[in-house]
Amino acid sequence: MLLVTCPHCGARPEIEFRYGGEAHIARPADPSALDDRQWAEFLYFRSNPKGVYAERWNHAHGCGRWFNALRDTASDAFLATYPAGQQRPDLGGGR
Amino acid sequence: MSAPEPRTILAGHLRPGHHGPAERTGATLRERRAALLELSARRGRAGDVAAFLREAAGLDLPPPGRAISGAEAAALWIAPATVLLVGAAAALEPVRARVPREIATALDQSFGYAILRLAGAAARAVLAKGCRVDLDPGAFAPGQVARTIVAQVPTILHQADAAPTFELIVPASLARSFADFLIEAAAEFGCAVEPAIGRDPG
Ligand SMILES: [Zn+2]
Repeated sequence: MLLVTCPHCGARPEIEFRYGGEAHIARPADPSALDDRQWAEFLYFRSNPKGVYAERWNHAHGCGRWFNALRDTASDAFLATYPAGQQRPDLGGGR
Repeated sequence: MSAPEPRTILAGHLRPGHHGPAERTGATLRERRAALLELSARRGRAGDVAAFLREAAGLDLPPPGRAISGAEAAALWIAPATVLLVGAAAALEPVRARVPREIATALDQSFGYAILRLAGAAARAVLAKGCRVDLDPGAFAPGQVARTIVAQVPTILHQADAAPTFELIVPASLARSFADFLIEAAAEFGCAVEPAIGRDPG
């Protein structure tokens, strides 16, 4: 069983959570100033690394809050979770 | 005068009786009839809600994952700055009426949810069939609350005492099949269904 640590509730089973895609993507301040290529990049282009990925998760069947996680996409290990609005934590070692 | 028609979703569905081996009672199941009041603090007003709760209900704001029980009601942490009060309607209605709207929203959830009490030596083994939260005494103790999924049903799980007694608060529309799941899961240990406690919140 995969446990995910909600910053509010602690370690809980994966089935309580919903995935929300890559984290730290800011909505453009003035969307109408963007051309189609730039808008498509905001909507659809993601970094998709093999390794550490910052992503959004929702504790849908728990406290209901959104938060962020650093997950290794190769091993599926959750390396850190942190409240929405906080900066991506530094794991050290260039990760 | 005849008794008023009972109105909770489990009234008439959860009938007293015994399931499984007659010589054993590993678990007891009953409905608890009570009022439910959800208080959700507006942004930055959790401190005001804590002060209100202390003054109006004599309860402290519970920390994450905990419940605080008083003489007439219990306050369950269900999300950041959000509590669910469980108690008699006579105790909670005056609280609801006094909530200052600028500090919190107050929602009467009395008929939105049903409350089931599962108790006994086999209660943890019964819940383990549908719940992935670790309920071992070393990991989950009286006074703890988890909002999770039990048998596919979104559940507010509160351990009320060390018997252990678990209070399971589930959406009313799923409460009958949820009660059936508990009876089915508990039957192998011997399951006694007992009469409801508390008063109809209506
Ligand atoms: Zn949570």
